[in-house]
Amino acid sequence: MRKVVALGVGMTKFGKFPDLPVEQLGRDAVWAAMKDAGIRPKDVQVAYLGNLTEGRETGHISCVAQEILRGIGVRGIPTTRVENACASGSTAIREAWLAVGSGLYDLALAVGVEKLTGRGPAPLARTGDTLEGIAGFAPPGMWAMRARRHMEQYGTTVEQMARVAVKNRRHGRLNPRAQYPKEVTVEEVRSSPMICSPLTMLDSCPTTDGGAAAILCSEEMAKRYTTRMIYVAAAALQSGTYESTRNIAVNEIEKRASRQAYEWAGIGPEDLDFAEVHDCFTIAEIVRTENLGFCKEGEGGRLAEEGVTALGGKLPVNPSGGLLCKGHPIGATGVAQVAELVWQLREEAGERQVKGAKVGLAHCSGGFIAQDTGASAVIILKR
Amino acid sequence: MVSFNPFLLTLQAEDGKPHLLGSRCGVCGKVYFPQQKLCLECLEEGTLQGHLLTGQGIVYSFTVVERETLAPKGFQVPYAYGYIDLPEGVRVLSKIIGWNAATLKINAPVEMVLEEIRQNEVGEKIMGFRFRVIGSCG
Repeated sequence: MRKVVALGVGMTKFGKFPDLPVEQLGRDAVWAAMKDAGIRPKDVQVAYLGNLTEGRETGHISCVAQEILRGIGVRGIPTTRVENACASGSTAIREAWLAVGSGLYDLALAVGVEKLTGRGPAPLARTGDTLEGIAGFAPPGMWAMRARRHMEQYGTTVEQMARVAVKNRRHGRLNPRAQYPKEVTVEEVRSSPMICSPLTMLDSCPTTDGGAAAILCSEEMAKRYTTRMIYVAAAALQSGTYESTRNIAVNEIEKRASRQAYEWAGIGPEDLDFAEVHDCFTIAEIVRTENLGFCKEGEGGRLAEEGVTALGGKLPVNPSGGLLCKGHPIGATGVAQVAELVWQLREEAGERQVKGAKVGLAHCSGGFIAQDTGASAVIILKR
Repeated sequence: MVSFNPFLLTLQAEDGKPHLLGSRCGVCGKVYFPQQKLCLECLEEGTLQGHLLTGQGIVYSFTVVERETLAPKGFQVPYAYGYIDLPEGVRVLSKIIGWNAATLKINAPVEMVLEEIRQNEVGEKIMGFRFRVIGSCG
């Protein structure tokens, strides 16, 4: 593998945009990333789209990546859509990283987009005469059950969980692209409507529309455009092991993905200056800060409570506001995390800047497969 | 009465009782649910045979769904579902019934029961399975 540079990034504002077609959200993000990189549409040699929900029910029979990109002049190149549930965008980044790192292409585009408002049942819902369908499976339920095990096994409290929401809302208030830039209190999180006990509405990420894009290229090509190199040091991806009686309070897949990413990047968790972590629910950030090696198993709640992961703390987690505040347009999320990493490493993150940030990590996992997680991606950027 | 999914649930096995349908490996002893053709430990052909699950277990974890917009068609909030650990080493996702706030907890003993989930177009009862909390746990 040769060195890969994150040349440019862009994203739309995240929020509810019922009148904007998914194509426009994708094109706006790609255009922003191309402008940021200083390239033109014809410079893109290969493209990957991360998206979960487009399909027959939304009127896209096939090739939605090509449909989005044709309207912005990115055409006549290999174009592929990838789907790994909530890790779809991170998977698009990984494919772009492989394409450039392998030496086959010099400049690659990764775009993620999702339109969820006005689109029927929740993404990842299960119906019909299946095990999940007749059990009454609801997507937050998986994390509600993990939360209950985490509380039982480690003594984690609902107040510690609420602190994650309080922290990420405080961070996201400083992010002009965030969906809900408004602070909340522990009391407000706990008194918001219960959705799947013990998780409340404010323990959960919102329904979001949005797009994000990144341009990755070889170091040699990057020299034509910039002198400030931000490197994609690793983009690891793992699938689950699906052990039937596993401990669901630990996401073992994330240990494997992060271990590989640290190894490829030649660093350890102690070298990180900040991280963007898949906080689809407050408990998810707690579990994942443990699995990514930021603390020991069972200490994630304390990490949030003591401010270690707050801006100004030892290892800020989700300075962008995370999914809880910025929003979670599924396919766009992993790409937007990489955009935040690039802005932080360039010291362009404004009021939410992590001072002197040199190394950042982005993590996304997706898919509920037999009590396990289908895909987990860990991406590390360095300047 | 018909099973909602004859691959997962038989209403009357040879013992005359309803059972979840699993598979057991004759080489390593591992039990699977749903049925498998390939043992994921041995990865050899022909080691698995049909195996009736006992239907008695404990709650591994659970949630109570309270938000109406999250409930699939046919489910009224609040309802509980969770993972049930069976002694065979199998974990089953199931709706949990017969509970109250004092009895629904991790490690609560539960047993499988049949429940009508709807009727088909010719008026036959479509039967699904649930796990019901047995008494209370300490």
